[in-house]
Amino acid sequence: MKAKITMIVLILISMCFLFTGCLTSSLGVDETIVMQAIGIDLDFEKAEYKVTIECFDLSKASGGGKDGVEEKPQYITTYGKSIEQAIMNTTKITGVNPIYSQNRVIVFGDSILKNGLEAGFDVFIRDYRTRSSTPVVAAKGFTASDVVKAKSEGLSAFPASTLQAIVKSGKINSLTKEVTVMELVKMCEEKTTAAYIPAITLVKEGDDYKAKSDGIAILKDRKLCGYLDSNETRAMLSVINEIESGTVTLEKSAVGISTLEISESKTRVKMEITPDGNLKYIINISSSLDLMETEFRKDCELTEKEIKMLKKDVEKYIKHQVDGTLNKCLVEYRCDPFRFGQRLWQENPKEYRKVSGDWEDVLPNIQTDVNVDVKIRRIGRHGVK
Amino acid sequence: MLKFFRESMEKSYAPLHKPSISAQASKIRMSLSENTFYIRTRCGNSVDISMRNVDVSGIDGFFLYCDGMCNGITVNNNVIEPILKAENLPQDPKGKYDAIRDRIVGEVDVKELIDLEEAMQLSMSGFAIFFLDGVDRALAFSVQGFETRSVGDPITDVQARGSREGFVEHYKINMTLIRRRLMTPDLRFEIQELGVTSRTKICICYLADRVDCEVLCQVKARLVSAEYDVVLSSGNIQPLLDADKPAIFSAVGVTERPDVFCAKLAEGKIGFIVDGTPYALYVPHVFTEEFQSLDDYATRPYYATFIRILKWLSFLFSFLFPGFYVSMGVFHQELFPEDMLFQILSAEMQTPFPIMVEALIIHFIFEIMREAGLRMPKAIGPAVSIVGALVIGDAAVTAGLMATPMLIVVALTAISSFVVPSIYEPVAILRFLFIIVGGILGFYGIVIALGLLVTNMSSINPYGVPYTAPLLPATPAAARDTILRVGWKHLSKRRLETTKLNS
Amino acid sequence: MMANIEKISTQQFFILLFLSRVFITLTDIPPLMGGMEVTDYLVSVPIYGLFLFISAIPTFFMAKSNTNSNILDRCSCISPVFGKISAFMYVAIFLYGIVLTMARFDMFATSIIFPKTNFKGFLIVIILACMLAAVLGIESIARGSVFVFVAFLGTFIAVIFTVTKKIDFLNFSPIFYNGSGTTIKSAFVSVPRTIEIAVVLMSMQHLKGNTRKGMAYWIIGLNVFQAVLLFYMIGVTGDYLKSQLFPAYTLAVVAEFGFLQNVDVILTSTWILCVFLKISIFLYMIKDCMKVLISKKYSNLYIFISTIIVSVITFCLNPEAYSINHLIKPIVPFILYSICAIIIPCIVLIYEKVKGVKIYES
Repeated sequence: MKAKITMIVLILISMCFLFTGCLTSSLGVDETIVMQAIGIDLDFEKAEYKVTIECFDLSKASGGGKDGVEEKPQYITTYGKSIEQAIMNTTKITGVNPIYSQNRVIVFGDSILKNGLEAGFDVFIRDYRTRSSTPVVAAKGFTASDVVKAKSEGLSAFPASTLQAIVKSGKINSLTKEVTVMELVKMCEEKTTAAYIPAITLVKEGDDYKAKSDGIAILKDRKLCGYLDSNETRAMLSVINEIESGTVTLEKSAVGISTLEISESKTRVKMEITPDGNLKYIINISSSLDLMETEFRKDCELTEKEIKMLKKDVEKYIKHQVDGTLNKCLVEYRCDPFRFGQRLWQENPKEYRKVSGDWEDVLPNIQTDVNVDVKIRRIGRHGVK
Repeated sequence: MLKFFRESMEKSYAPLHKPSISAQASKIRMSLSENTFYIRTRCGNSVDISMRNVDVSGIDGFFLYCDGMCNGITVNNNVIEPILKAENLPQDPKGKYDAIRDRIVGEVDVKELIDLEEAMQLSMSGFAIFFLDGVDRALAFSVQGFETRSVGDPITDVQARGSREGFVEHYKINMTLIRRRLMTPDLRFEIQELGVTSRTKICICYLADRVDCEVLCQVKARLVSAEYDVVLSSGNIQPLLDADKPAIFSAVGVTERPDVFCAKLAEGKIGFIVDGTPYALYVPHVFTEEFQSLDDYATRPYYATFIRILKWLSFLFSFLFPGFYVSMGVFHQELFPEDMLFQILSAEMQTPFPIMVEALIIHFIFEIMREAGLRMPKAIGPAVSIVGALVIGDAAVTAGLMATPMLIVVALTAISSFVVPSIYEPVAILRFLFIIVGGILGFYGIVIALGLLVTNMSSINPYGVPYTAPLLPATPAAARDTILRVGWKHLSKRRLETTKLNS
Repeated sequence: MMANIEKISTQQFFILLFLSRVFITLTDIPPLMGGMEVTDYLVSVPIYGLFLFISAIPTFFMAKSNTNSNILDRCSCISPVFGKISAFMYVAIFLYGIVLTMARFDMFATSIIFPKTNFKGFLIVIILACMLAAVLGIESIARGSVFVFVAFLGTFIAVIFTVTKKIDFLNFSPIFYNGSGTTIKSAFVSVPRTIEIAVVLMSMQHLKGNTRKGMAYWIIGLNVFQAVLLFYMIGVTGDYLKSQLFPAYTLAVVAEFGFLQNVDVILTSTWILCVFLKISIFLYMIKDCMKVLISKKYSNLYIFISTIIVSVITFCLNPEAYSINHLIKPIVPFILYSICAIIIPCIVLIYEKVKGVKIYES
């Protein structure tokens, strides 16, 4: 009996496989275009979204890859009333479905960011084909289409990979920060937090434009509020304890122009309520740096006194940078990318309940006390006098 | 409808059971002529059956033997001559018969018979049968002298540090090979005959001090209830001993090596030697034994463990890798790094077939080549290799019929599947199944199929021992010799008893 | 008859039940109803554990008094009619469990795995595969579950290991920011969906070992797993999980393994195996119930019939996006669970105590 049932079931399962046409939406790898980057702008004239897609160009492909295949990107520009429609309109040009799973980066142009993310972002959260780990980037001063089409300068032949690498370079230089779709949504969902995304700009070299990282773009209520340049970005990252590596260059220090590499950085933020009812955040930044370069003097060895003075200079510099960034964000932009509101919510829900409704008005009155403690651990291959 | 098909199939086949001859009818008679008549009627004019009439001091007798099965010199010198030259024999036929049985022929083994059918069968086994007029018995003299293959290297089961002896076709030689390795009185051999026509001898081997009596009884009962016409190889009786449920893997172990066979007997298993085939069987067999070999115990534990892990990974690789590749190409392109995806995309775009169809075709071609390589005469082997390599490997790719990545997948899969050759057959079929499932349902289908496969394997409980033991259910003591191979200090403390792996 | 009963160890059995809950946990839609914040969901886990433990007390007593027969055998001893009514209720709860699992799986798969398709075909393949596994018996399912457990544990630990560095403690909200009522209600509502308690009651005759201990470990293990999963979900995704239907899937998406990228498909495929095990064991349980309800003569035929019933219901399920909300309304599982996991065992225990039925120590 068991054998009979087994046979019947196996036959039924096999029959199910016959319905392959309607069973699954398989896109064979040879029946698609593989999206590598997507740039989104708002075309005000047409009142439509302009979507620029970078994908594989297989026109150079040879059979079996025996003679080597030249990797070359292809760019497709389409329009649509929504981003999803614009992407689907690529099928009018290519005749095949695009696949999103290899998408390296999403670039938003100024036009979208100034208008607000509401109109242009839902597709990346709702559509099943998009991935929440895709980095998001703002095109600073240029359209997203220009950034997507910019010439690649990295190791890969695909500009999208280079763009992605530029965004990830924040781990190396702390001058930018990779923000994925998931992280952006998380920041937008938080009531008091201002979201931010890394900014990419273009620099002209001859006839070509090349992509370059240029700080971050701050979004308030999902709209572009302003930009922080690279140094301000680093200062912001040090407040939120996101510094992994990077360098600090002092133009004027006890030993002249110096560059120090950050080997370790930890930030602790404490929150207090002052007697007059204002919020105060004490930001303690503790960093270990290694001196990598200074002026080439006759006498290369530094004295202990010089090192101590250098340490003070670095501390002053970092404090100045952080204070400047805090002022710019809290006072000038009236936004909170540092998640001070989130911290208040966690530590003092009652107080948070009072102020969360008018958080924007509270921000300029927030007091900050930045304390920087720097340790210069190594001074390179030269010794101490 | 089913009944109609069944009946029409049964009409095409001859009935298995021959009309049985009653014991009374085949009893040896007093009259020599009656015996002679019976034998001539049964054997017909078969030229290899020799019947030689002799005169034993005035009383007629005859010898029945099979040309080619007996050693002619032994028959003449040690049997016929002593009988004919015997002096002072009693006058009566019974007395003569007793004297011949007890003292005249001393150099060879003698067996007394009362049945003509048995006499004929023994004569076909290399015995010389002696009938005497006036006596309702016969004597069977063991004078086998047929040609057998000498003991040589086992062909299929190759071990780097194992012995160079493999089983041969004759069961008595095989029994000797086993007895030499297990010199204990607990080693038992029992003979059963299977096959109404072939009467093939099946030798059941076991160690009495460690075999599970229940399992032994079950096995014997299965053999007794078997209905075979001819048994020509161990493969014929393998389904008889296998699990009752339909299963992908066989629960009967096969080996050509006496050392492996003895190792299995030492674990409490029951072995079967089939006369006429060098492949011995043993039960109960568990899946993890496919990945064990004698070389594991001859090398250092760390290397043996490494090889075991390699075998397990190769096994998984051999049937899962093509399915994974097809499913990644069809459904899950995001798993490929971009450069690799570009290369694959470029290659696949040139081919006329979808990935799944391409995979099926190329694996099918590989199976054709493998089967042809197995069967073809050695003289034309190199020619076929060249054809295979050039046509499949090069021309198909250059012509754009196949993609290079797919060929790499096939090559790797093929090499992996020969790491554990004993389970090649089920792996080959599973490979096709997983390609189809991967191409239609992607990773998720592969996983469901894998779950079903594991469940199917877990459901096999031949002789009360789970087929997936000692992994499922996990037995810590037995697991030390499954994926890992611990040192002999630990292994020698307790021996594995297979029949106690159920839980 | 007793000699034909398949025996499995309690470890295997409760691993099977653990995996049965895993899929529901991993595809759970956070019941962020009426102002529940993310940390409250984490806090609801031990509360759920406590409620579950309390509701499983009759089962503990059932296990203590007799592990040689299942609940239906003991109900039939009270009265054959009572046995049949109980069998009917158990069939209902298991059928409900399978339909709910299929509906949730349908939603998960059409959102994540095979979107834009008529997914019913794949569902039917899964149901048929489960039917085959159920026919092979509880022993095979239990052994297969150990294999799935190892695979699942491996992938889960790998995900946890890789996302640990992404945890941000600022993502956690203050506990009970909007009050505790919703949290407790959410935990209470989750208990009746734990149909595995009914599986324990139906499977006692199959178990070798200490059932009570196994059950305690199972409840604790389940809660620890849920707590760890939620901790990581909240720590890594924060408020992002409010916008996602399946936030646990996001963890798989963000996990990176060095050069390996986008491996969420490998991780989610082990979740599919949990569905396979869950439906297989439920189909097997339905068979045992039908034997009491109808006749002991047939066995695998009942599995076949229940597969057809489930397939028909699956096909008839409303394909609209909101349909699952009707299925997960608390009232249906609450009634079924109360009857099957609490009322019937209590009746049996009280009857046996009053009538002085002989107690078999396990």
